[in-house]
Amino acid sequence: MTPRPLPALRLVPKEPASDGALCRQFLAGDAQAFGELIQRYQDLVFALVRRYAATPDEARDLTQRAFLQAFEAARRSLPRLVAADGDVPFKAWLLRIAINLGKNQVRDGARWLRAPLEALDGASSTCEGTHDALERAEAEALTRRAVSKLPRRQREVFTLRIDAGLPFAEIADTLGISEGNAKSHFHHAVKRLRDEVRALSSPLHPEGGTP
Amino acid sequence: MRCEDAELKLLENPDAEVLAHARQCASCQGFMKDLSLVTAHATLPAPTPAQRAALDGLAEATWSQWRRAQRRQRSWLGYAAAAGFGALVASAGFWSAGPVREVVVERVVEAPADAAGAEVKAGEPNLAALEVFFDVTWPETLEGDAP
Repeated sequence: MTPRPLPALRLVPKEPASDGALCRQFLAGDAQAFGELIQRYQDLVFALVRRYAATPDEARDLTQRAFLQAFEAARRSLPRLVAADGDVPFKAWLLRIAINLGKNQVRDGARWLRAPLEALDGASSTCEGTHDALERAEAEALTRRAVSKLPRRQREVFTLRIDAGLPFAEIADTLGISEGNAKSHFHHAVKRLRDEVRALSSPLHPEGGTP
Repeated sequence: MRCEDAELKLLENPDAEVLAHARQCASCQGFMKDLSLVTAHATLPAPTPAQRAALDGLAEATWSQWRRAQRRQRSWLGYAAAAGFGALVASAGFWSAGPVREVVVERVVEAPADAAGAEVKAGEPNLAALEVFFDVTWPETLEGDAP
């Protein structure tokens, strides 16, 4: 009697669990689901809050606080969302919380410009040290200063696009606005930044000198 | 196509029509130049290895922070529940005592057996002894009349 051949086994790549499923698992006490959610979004949140933080440790602290607040929001809202058969917008919560924490950080102390500019200045001067590099660093510093002066919504859209690299549809979802509205805010932000940078870099402007 | 519309479409996945317009439009080309310049200047430098290292162990640290916060919240809820229960017990004891009974304080004064004697009190004159009776009846019909 010949043995029956075994059925051919096929390796099927595991579908990544949705944010909602991971939220449910972690609220049931699963630490692994909690860790997976953090691994999934920590770079994104860090990229977003880095602009507002003075040091890497401060950025890490903001990242951690954003996660804790998003998990708390999930804990409070999950039963209602499950009852309504709705999806858990964990990523949108997380990004919105991160932006708000960043804004609060700016409000609580004038830290907006310190870290990125210092990091940039240090990197530029050590790597190149040329006149062109300094000029470019200055222009970049001026642009970032101008970003800090954008109206709230324009700044949110701009940082979600530039720092987090999100598509406009996702930016719209995160901020609860339409995609066209998000594009319009970004468009205005670009024009405004261009004008601000021109004004700041003008030799007559008192702030136009060193960053 | 208006330049304003074209500029919005140029922000993400522009179609062939928009690109064709942009190739011929100086204003749209200027906007694209501004966009790339502003984007390049506003973008933060890539995180350094030291900055990236700050994220090491973030999941574990956040998990322990979360558990601590939950425990704290539970203990506060426990205290609040205990306080609420205590207040409930106290109020139940208060209400189970029933309605407040009205206590009427009454002064009972017993009349003395000798009612006449009751009228004469110590230190007061006995008015009965001082009674003067006047006869105020009309005298005889003709008494005193002139004849």
